[in-house]
Amino acid sequence: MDRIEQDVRWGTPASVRLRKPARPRAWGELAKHAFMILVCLLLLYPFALMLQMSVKDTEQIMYEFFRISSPYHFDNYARAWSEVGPMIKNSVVMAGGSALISIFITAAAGYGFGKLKFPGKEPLYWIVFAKMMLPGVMNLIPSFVLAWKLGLLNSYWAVILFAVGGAQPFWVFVMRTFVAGQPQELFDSAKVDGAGEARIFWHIALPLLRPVLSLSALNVFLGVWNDYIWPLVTIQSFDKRPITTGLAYLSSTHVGDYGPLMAGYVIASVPLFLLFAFGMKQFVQGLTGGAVKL
Amino acid sequence: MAVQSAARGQRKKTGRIGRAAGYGFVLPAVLFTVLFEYYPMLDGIFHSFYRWNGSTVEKFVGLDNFAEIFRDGVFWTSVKNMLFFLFFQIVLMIPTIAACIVLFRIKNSKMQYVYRILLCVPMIIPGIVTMLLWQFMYNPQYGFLNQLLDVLGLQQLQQLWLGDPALAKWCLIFIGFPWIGTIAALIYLAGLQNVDGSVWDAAAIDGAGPVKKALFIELPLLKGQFKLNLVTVLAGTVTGYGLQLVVTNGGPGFATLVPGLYMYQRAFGSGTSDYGYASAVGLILFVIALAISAISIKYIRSEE
Amino acid sequence: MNRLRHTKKIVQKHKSRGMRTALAAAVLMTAALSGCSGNAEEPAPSSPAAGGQAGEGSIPADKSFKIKVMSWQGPQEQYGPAYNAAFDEYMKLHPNVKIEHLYQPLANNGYDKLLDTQFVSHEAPDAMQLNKYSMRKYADQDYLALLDGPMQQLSAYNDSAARWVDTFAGGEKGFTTLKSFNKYGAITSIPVDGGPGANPVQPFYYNKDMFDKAGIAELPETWAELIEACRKLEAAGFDALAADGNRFMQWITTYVGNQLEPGHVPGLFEEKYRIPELKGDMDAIALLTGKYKADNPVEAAELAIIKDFSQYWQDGWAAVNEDQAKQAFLLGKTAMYMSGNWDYSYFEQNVKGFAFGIIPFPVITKETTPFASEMLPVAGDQQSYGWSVNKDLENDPDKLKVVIDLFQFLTGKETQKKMSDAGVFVPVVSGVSTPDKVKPFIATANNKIPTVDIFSGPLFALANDNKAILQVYLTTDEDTAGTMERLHQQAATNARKKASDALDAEGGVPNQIEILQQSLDKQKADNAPAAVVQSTTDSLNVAKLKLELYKQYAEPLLK
Repeated sequence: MDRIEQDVRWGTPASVRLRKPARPRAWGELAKHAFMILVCLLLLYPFALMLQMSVKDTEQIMYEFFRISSPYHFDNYARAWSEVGPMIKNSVVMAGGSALISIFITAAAGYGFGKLKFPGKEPLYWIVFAKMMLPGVMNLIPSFVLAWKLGLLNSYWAVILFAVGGAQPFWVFVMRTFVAGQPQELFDSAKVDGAGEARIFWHIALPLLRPVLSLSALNVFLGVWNDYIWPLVTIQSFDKRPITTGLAYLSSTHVGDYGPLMAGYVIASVPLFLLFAFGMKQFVQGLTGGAVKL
Repeated sequence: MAVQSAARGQRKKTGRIGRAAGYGFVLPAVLFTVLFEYYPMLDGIFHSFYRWNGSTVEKFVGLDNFAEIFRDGVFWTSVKNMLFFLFFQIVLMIPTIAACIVLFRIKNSKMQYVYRILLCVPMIIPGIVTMLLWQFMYNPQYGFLNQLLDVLGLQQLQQLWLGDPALAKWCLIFIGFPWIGTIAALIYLAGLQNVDGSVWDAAAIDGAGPVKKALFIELPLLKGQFKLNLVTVLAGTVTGYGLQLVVTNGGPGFATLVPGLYMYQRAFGSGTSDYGYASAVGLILFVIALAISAISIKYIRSEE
Repeated sequence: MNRLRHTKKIVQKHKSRGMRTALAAAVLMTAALSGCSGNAEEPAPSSPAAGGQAGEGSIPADKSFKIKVMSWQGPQEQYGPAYNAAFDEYMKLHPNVKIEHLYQPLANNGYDKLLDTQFVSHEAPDAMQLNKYSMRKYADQDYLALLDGPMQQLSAYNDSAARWVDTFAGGEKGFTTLKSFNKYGAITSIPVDGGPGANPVQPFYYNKDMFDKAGIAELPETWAELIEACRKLEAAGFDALAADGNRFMQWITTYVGNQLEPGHVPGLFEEKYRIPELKGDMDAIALLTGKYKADNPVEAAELAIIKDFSQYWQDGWAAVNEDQAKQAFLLGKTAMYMSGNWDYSYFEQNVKGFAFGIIPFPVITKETTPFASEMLPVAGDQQSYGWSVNKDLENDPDKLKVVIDLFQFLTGKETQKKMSDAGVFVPVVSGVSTPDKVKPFIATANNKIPTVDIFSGPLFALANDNKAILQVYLTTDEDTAGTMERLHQQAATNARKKASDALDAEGGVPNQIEILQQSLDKQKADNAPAAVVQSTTDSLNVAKLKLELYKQYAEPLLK
């Protein structure tokens, strides 16, 4: 599992590139490019459609579907923003909160399980670890009831706490493996200096864990960001809805208002676009971190 | 003597502190796991033997829910649909592999890099947007597909798409065309990069054709990655229902209903809150998913 | 596991305590409210509104109140503004009351799901608009206040000496359906706007231009004429009707079913059981005992009529929701769209490029099916939806008083006149004239069957996937017999569950009887007004009869 995570790289290592067979036939190379261009076009045209529809009004969409001509309705974005803006805020708070809390808890547990000694450590670790193998499909209803009994319904915490809980098994496993792999001397020397466990964790373990932390934060963030079903059942007030349920709701109530709807879809894609633009490598690793979860 | 015992006392003390600290570090994680993961799971198993509406009715009924599920025609329809989706989801893993192999063989590394980024773009669009977008494209009156057929003069091929029970399933499969999964692609590419360069040299000497080369060199190399992705597809398709919930809600009729969605509808549908029955459906899915998980662990490990 | 079971027990205990408090609260409420208005038997001179003049109500003036009410009436539609104007007026009258009107659309089941979560977390609004099905669900879960107490008192905003319940059109009898819809047999809902509730059949909005082009000279009055009109429209190249796969399914089955063989199911039982309150129970028992079979000819006729009609609906209807269907009509893609008076202003403002009109729901004649009663239900003789009050308010009697006062204000004649004019709806209280615009929606010479007597298709009513099964029937080549078999399978299972729940000693009818008996005893001991005692006695008698019905027919089969 680790192998996969570490090997997703941007750009091909030079060694591999050099050894690839030389293919004299240029048209073979051309065919490959043509294939890839076609694939990318097919993959991306729905989003291109989305972009072009986002600046049209309903008449333009209905009668001039494939043309884009003035007047351009950039006001669609203003209209969409007033509705989608708060959803983005909600999504950011929930996804960000979940990511932040879960990295601290999983890192602490990773350190505790990886480097500390205390009775009952192994059984406790197994409790957490074993849940990784148990599917969560039947959790929905009881989780809903639990959220209600804890008084969490209709609050950000319903999403955050359950997301943090869901992140535990896999990321505790990863953190523990990572911490256990670090040289013991690093920790011992700090102990000799009289540092307490909390300080060692804060000043030594956390900095060491940094690459895994960002990976896990991103993974948790994306999971919450794209989650639809859980917020659908737990968060119902309009002013607390995340983008997933919020957009689905808008699309069913603003029927016919396609322009502003599409503008809303575009706006909802911006935060991840920014994340992608600024942290491409981490972003991609975060994705596969999720895939490896199974 | 005194020094020794003092030292021992010290060790004891730090040991105790260390111990306490140990619990302090791991207990939050353990508590979160137990409360938000195990408790719901066990509670669900428990309630699948109950007639339960979440408030006033709560009665132990033994295996009644399961007996009812077995007699329930709607459940079996949903299982049939699930098998349909399962079959095509597995078949549709091929385009991603093909695209990755082609991408990997491209010599211009700059272009290769550009294609990779383009393949990643769908991931920055929230999944819900993709689904809603496709739902719009299928709209029979003003959606993209019928408009396109109109422009091409192929009006006779226009369809009701999601409104046609015979076609709705296929429409859901078609969402995601050309079926390039970003995550799966990244996993395959990682696998290809990991390969010892000498195999490529050998292949070049053999002068094998591109398809033959794919079949005999790249595909065997991707076996581990394929298995990993296969398990994701299996578990995701058996237990997942987000797509159906958003795009068709299982309709028209029961044409796109899957067991997960049926569970959801029985619990949260309008006018019903049959949590006990829904939990029983969930337990069946849980057992299937558990089997997949167990087999996959064995199967993936066995070759690595 | 053991611990879980233990928790269960505790929960159980809490639950039965909850049930018991229901009755205490009903009594309490009567007591609390008798302070603000006298009772029906002896209208004290100081009553309506002791100390104040009539039409102003009396609520604690020294405290300020913040009241949250929720509805699906958006500010864009016609009812929403009518409500908001009335709320503003009330706040002017009572500056210490602040009303917040929350809006949550019904689309995608969002309204119910929101309430589900709000009720369990005790964050629900103080009063909320509910249809009778949701009202039943929440009343049965003990989330709604029982309103018989206040209903038996005088209304502070009505100058007559009538009890509040008698000021409504149809009087106390008009609440029969609503009462039969919850386990207490109580009033849990205050009608304010006579939307779909006062009007048991929805009309069709139609596109006059398309009808002209299709050569339809006279508007269809019978079902056969409607089908003929559809044929002409289709021949002229138009889709006749914009349908949807959800709400319309419910409507069309109800409105077609309404017109077939009344008294069909009750006829299977002894005379004494044939009361409207037990309609749903008779449905279930008829299915359970096999008195009502999967090949019932009346319900088969209903399905066949709908299937025949469905060939004229727009393409792809099964995959669209009601808003999308409305758009199709609005954009001139179909000639008709079924909806109620609440859409009138919307169409007035938004229909462009054609003229629209209204066709009342046609009467089904013997020409179409031998089971036709050739009658439509009487408009507005039964209240069927309204506003319910959050049970949590019982912990805050002053606020409860204010909420009740607010609704008495809304159902006062003066406010009703203003609201029904602005909202284009049928007034729910008697003595207020119906706005002209809404008349085409309700008045036809055929409105003759009392609503409580109409036929309901038990198969369709009791099958939980009824809409999906109907969609399959209408969009594939599945035949009527197969469809009814499918409906029957689900309906029979649910009938069995319903019967076993009803007979359950802890949560079923025996428990209701116990609660009602205690409630009655307490009322008598407290010298409650005679009308209150009477209404509790009535509910108790219905519950006893219900238990008898289940004991006689269902119990032997469940063993």
